[in-house]
Amino acid sequence: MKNLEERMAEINRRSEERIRKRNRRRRQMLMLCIPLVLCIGITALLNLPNRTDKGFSGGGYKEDVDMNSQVCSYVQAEIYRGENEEQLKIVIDKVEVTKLYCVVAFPENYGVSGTVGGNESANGPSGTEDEVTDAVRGQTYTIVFSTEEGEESTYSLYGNVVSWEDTGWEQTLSKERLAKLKLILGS
Amino acid sequence: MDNGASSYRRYLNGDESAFREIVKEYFDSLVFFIDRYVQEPAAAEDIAMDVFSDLIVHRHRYNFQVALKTYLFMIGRSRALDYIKHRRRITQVELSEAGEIPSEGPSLEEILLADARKRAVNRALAQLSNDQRVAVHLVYFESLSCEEAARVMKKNRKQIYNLLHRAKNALRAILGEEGELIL
Repeated sequence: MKNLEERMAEINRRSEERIRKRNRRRRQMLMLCIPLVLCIGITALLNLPNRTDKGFSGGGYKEDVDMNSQVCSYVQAEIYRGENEEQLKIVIDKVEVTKLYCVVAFPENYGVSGTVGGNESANGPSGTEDEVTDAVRGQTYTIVFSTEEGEESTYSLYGNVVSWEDTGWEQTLSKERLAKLKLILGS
Repeated sequence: MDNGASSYRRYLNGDESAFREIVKEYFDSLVFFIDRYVQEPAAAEDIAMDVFSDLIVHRHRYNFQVALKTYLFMIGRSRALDYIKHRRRITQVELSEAGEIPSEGPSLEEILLADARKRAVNRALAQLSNDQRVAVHLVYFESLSCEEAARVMKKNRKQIYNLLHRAKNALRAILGEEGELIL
């Protein structure tokens, strides 16, 4: 049997040890939680612009959001012509790729005319069917956009209709827009 | 001392000597109580130290709704049961490796049970079931009320009454004529 002094000393020693352990555990939890909270915060901040875009688009334009977020991610565009998919050229200039993507992938009424240098979106597709088909008569183009990670999106142009092969989404291009596209395609 | 609560309140207000009073008042009886479960005086003393250390580490866990003694016994019981559950995992130290040999002197039982009648009951308790033994210990040796004993043992008052009744009958049978006088 220990005397009172020994008991008190032992109890105090154990208490201090347990308090030290508890504080250490709390510190460890905190050290684990801070990076986790930071990561969640940064991820939320990075995703915020996309959500805001979606919120202001107003028309349920999911494609718009997806495209907008992808505009900067494509670094290369491969252009193929004809049924045999003869490679016409590879665009690796980021500005050119972005321009091409805007012309091909953005809807006519998206309001990105500034990017592509025209104001065609306000009036929708213009020009007659004859004029358009005359411009690209007999020509089919396939444009493959690639990101640095190797993800690809494939668009095909037939006549004045461009379609996103991955989803089946398609739109009819205006005369001005088609002309701009032709200029970029180099045909 | 009002069951230790006022001392503990003083300790929480910064009076370190109040904690010494609590240890002095309740340590031996707590060890004796825990020993009812673990049947190892050294382990009981060790557990009792942890119980008191709980009072320091978790300062605001005790809510003053029950007597401090009852609270200590509640923690003691819980820790004793934990110890029994994990006893197999504890490495037993060989006697030759043990550093400190306990000093010879009066045992805890002898210190706490100066009364010969209580000693006789204490010896007979060994033959009772664990719950009966603990119930008799709390009510008979520690002078806790049935409500307090029920709280410590996590049972209701009726169960404590039943345990005491059966224990009393068993003790009468064990102690014989001596038991009739005591009980």
